[in-house]
Amino acid sequence: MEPRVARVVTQLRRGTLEYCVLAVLRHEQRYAFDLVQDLGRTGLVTSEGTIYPLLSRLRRDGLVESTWEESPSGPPRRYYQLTADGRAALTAFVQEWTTFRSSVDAVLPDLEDRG
Amino acid sequence: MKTYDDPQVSEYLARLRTTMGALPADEREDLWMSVTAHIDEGIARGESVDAVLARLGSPEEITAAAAGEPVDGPRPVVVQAARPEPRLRWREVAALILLQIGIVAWVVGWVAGVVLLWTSNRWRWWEKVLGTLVWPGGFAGVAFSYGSGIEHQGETCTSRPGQPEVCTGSGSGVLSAVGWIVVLALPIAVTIYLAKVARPGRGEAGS
Repeated sequence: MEPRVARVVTQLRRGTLEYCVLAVLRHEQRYAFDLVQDLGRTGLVTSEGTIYPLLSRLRRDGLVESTWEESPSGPPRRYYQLTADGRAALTAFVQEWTTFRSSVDAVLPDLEDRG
Repeated sequence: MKTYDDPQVSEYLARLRTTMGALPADEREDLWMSVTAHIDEGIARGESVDAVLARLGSPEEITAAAAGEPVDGPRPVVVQAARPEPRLRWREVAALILLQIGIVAWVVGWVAGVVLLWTSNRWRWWEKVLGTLVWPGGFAGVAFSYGSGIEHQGETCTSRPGQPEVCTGSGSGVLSAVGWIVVLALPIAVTIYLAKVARPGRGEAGS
């Protein structure tokens, strides 16, 4: 990828990833392992382990909360769920993102025609 | 737990512990519990150690993600910023000292001070002129010239046996006290000024 473009993509990914995490949690609480694996499969992150620091920060910021539960088979499981603040942040982001996306989409085809 | 017996896992976790060193203790603990639980779960589900660790990414990557997070509010800065250049290096300190007392060392000391002053980028050109001209030789020069000047003033001293020495003159005692204060205060003031305004690159930013 062209370096300048790669930088923008990295920044976009970094900025939007935490809202993708919130979005994955919008319906129900999720077991950390499954949550991380699902996000890994989307291609948004190349290393699943880098999601844990993000979850940690979202928890410190009060957007998600976590509970440990004993598992009948295997290690104790940590479950994550959205807080009210997390839900509000997600809603606000979805609105902004929708506007942003349509604005960019509206301009990009013109550039392609000229190119 | 049996996963810790795996040499690949224990090596991975040892690296994680090392690279996490710079993180705040609570984040370290949190990350440690998450990653160990993740590895345990992957292996419990029948995945190979290789596959689990490869998808997790290196300990360095994970710690970098923790350290490179955007900082919200007053949290300790984990990644050290490039250390700013000091305002005064040894050479600037040496310049200021030599300008004041360097003349004692056969004038060469003062000349060295002037050279150090003019080759430094910490001051503007007129500040360098000030440092050079404040008094040739700074304190030592002042002391020397003023001291020798007093000897030539019309002051006479008489001493009689059994009595303390009595000196009479043209009131130069009071004058010289004021003079001393002025001529000594000037080099001190200039030195303090130069020490305070010194900034890296100040000399290159025009006059």
